[in-house]
Amino acid sequence: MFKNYFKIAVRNLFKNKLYSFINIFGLSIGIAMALLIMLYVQHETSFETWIPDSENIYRVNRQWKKDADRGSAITPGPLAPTLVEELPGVVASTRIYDLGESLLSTDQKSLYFEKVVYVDSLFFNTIPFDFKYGTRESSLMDITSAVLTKQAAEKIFDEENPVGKTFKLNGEEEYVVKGVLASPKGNTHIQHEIYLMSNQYSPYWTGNNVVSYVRLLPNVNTADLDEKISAIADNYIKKEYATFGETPRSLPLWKLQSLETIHLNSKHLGYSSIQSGDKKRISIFTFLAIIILGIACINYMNLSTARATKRALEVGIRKVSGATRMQTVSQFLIEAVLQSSIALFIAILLAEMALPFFNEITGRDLSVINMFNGILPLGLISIVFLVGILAGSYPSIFLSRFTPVDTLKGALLKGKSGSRMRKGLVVTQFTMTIALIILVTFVFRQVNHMLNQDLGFNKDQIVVISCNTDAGIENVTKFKDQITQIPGVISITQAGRLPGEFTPNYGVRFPETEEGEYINTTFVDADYAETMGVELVEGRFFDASISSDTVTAFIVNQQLVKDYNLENPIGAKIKFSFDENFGEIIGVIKDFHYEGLESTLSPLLLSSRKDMDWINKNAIKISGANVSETISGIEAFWKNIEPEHPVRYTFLDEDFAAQYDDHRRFGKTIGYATFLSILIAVMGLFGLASYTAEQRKKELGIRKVLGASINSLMNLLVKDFVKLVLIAGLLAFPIGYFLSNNWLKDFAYQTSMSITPFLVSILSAIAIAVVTVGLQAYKASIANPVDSIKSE
Amino acid sequence: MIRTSNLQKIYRTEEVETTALNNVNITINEGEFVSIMGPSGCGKTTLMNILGLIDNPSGGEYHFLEEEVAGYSERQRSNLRKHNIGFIFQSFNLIDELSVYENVELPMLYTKVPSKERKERVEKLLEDMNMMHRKNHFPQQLSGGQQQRVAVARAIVNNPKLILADEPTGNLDSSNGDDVMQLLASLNQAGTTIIMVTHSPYCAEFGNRIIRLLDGQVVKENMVTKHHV
Repeated sequence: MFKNYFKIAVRNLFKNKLYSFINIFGLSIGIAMALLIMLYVQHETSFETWIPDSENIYRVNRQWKKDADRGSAITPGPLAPTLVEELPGVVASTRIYDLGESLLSTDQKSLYFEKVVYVDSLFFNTIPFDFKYGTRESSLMDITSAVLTKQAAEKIFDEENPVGKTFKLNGEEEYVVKGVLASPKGNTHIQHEIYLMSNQYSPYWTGNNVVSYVRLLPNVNTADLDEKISAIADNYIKKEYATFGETPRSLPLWKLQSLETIHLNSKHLGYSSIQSGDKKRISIFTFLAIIILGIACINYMNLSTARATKRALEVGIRKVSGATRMQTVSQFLIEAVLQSSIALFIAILLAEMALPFFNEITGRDLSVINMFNGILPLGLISIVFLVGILAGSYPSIFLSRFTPVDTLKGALLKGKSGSRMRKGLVVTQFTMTIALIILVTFVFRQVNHMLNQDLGFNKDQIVVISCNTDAGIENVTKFKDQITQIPGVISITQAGRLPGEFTPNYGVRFPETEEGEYINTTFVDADYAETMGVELVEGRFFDASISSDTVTAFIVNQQLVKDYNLENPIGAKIKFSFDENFGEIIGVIKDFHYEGLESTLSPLLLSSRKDMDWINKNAIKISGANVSETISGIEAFWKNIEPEHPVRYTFLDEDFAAQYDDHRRFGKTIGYATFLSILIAVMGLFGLASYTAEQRKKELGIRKVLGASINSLMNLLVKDFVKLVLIAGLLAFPIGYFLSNNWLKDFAYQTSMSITPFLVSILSAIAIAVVTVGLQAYKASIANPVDSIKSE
Repeated sequence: MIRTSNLQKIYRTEEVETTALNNVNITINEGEFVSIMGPSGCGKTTLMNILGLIDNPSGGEYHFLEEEVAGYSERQRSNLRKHNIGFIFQSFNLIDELSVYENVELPMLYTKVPSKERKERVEKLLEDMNMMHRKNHFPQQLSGGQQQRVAVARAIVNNPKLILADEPTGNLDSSNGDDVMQLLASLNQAGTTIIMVTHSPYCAEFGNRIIRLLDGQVVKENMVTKHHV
């Protein structure tokens, strides 16, 4: 019996090539998307579990009491050693200090590595990675020890065993390689390349600059432990505040986060890992895949039922021959599953072709090979069955309903039955598609809005070069005049952070308040305002010739003046919490969006002190003419600043725009999905239109004989479909509005809700429908009426 | 074998009520070859459909093989049908996507005949019908007479007790039509009951009784005296 169904199915496939193509191609795209997403989910959920004892390893996070969703993975230096000392149940603990990008050099090579960290000697006891060379126990014995990943080791020492070899960090300290890690057996959020042993950690509980991990005994109650950690740590924090005569405004909650959940659950923590996963993204992808699969399934349902008359006779004969309704239903279900199985093979090819785009969107490096690993093949088979059954359900029930009498009498259903359902399904397809078009328009409007808005400072024509060493920083200060002599260079400023980077906050006090306030603070030199194009509204900027400026002078933005109600800001007293004496505000600058447009403007303090942050960022303003010549000039001169470091530069506007990458990627994701859903919906419409044209062939012929023009005939056919798209548009408006509004909610500065995207989306949908249907209508309208009338 | 009393079939649309069959009382015994005649629209096909258990009457009784089947569900009727009744249509109604062999085999799939036996029976029948050389062809590749012979083969492959033929020669030229009629007559002689709708008095005379319908009622019944066979 199955063989018989199979044969009929295959022969029908070949007989109706257009419909088969539309069905299978649509399903393929949907399945390909599902496949990529399964690949992605498999990757995202495979983190850390391969690490021995991973279920007992935790990261310690700080969480804010009033805003429990937010927190930080950056913790005080003394936390990790204190916990292992004072808490039974904690077996080992370690901390990581991120050095950021650093230069490693041997006699042969100098290479930048992005992910260089200091760790303490217990790191590999806490997180037991496997070693290729060396051992966990002996690798971090003293402060010249280094452990490299296999990849990093191969980059700088080539293939040989580097244990015992030395390298210099940033041209200064020398390290000895004590171990090389084996290639990781799976994914991990711990992506560092170079581990350097250090025992110099900040002793302060009030400063946070390391990530702390602990390893626990099995089956320890972590909720209990959270409370104990909070009690211990908060006590130390209070004591420390007391030493400079203050009480902390609020204390954090300390929470253990299991290693295995870090990758997908760290978005809320300011810093978590270089490549953090996002649960939300998984749901967005899944949502899009479901929509596209849904649109493809609708094509299948519509075309199958529209063409039902062609199969009705077969159903009748089968029933007369003794087929039960169940048997007929299962026949058409099997047929649908067969088509989705064929689609699967095409989907695998499509997925492979689309993988580079998908990797670009996700920032992952997924490979098709993994499709055949683990439970994925099982998942694929389930998808094939699910899609087949979903797509085949309505057609099979519809077709099996035909009674032999209806079908054999010859009074076949003239495509009327089920046509309301079909219309409803077309409306559903276009509602989804138009809603996506609306959303994608808003995403790109928002990104453009952010890129083009006046930020209150000048980000164009600014070259950014970072110093790697203290000597380099000193040299920049020393050679400033010479740098501005380079043709094309207008000015240069040294700063701890540049706009678009994370701006740390520091405890600050005004004389009137007892508690410290945390205020975003950037350390800059006297040329900052001029170079960055920041406007002064009151007072003066720092002056390099006034030596007290570097100690006691502060500059604030308008927002700070407003938030702290400073009536006469110039001359107002202010100091860092840990300083003894107050300094004063010497100038107020106009607000500028130093954090980008994702967050609202917050108070900003500028100081020109050199001892609090590493002032290693250099922003060089250049004239627009002869950019490449100017840059070569700067590159040549930089040999005097940091001779052993190859110079690298970026442009501030590009760096700044990079913070919106996530949104642009989101826009691209939705964009691709929208394109695919339009494609599939249009194919379905095309199939349906060609079917309708065929159905009404005789009617058109008669009308033509009676004198109808080609235009009026086309109009007749196109009108119906345009009506459906219009209805879909009206239904899509609230959905599109809801989606867009929801997405825009996260932005502090939103693009305006305008009617344009709505109109654009519906007009483009109508245009697409008119062209698609019009093509078929035209073909039907120009046919010789004699042929169509005779054909009945 | 078949007995109806006051059989009725009424078609209703929103506005019109059409009586297709009105108090039809017929009895057909096993082994008979009955021809039903009448002008278009007199209810011949409706009667055939009800007798063939592919439609339900609106009223009256229908006894098939001593069972009252008028109120049967589709499932029950389907069960009874597939083992006992074979159908032959004017327009052949072969499935275009199945080959000659597969068309004939189809009813046996629903009665769960083992595959070896299916093969034997199909081949024997095609042999008898002189269609063996066409077994892998598709319906469109055959002449009308050949198609109807395949349809006859399909109708009798499950050895039904009853064959219902709805104008089996209507789409055939006289020579092919004659072949089909000879085939039916020989089946009848072998013991199969046959009920046939026809417009042609010539064909009707292959049977042993003629029932005439007009406006949904039996107006005349007569035995056939002159036989072609």
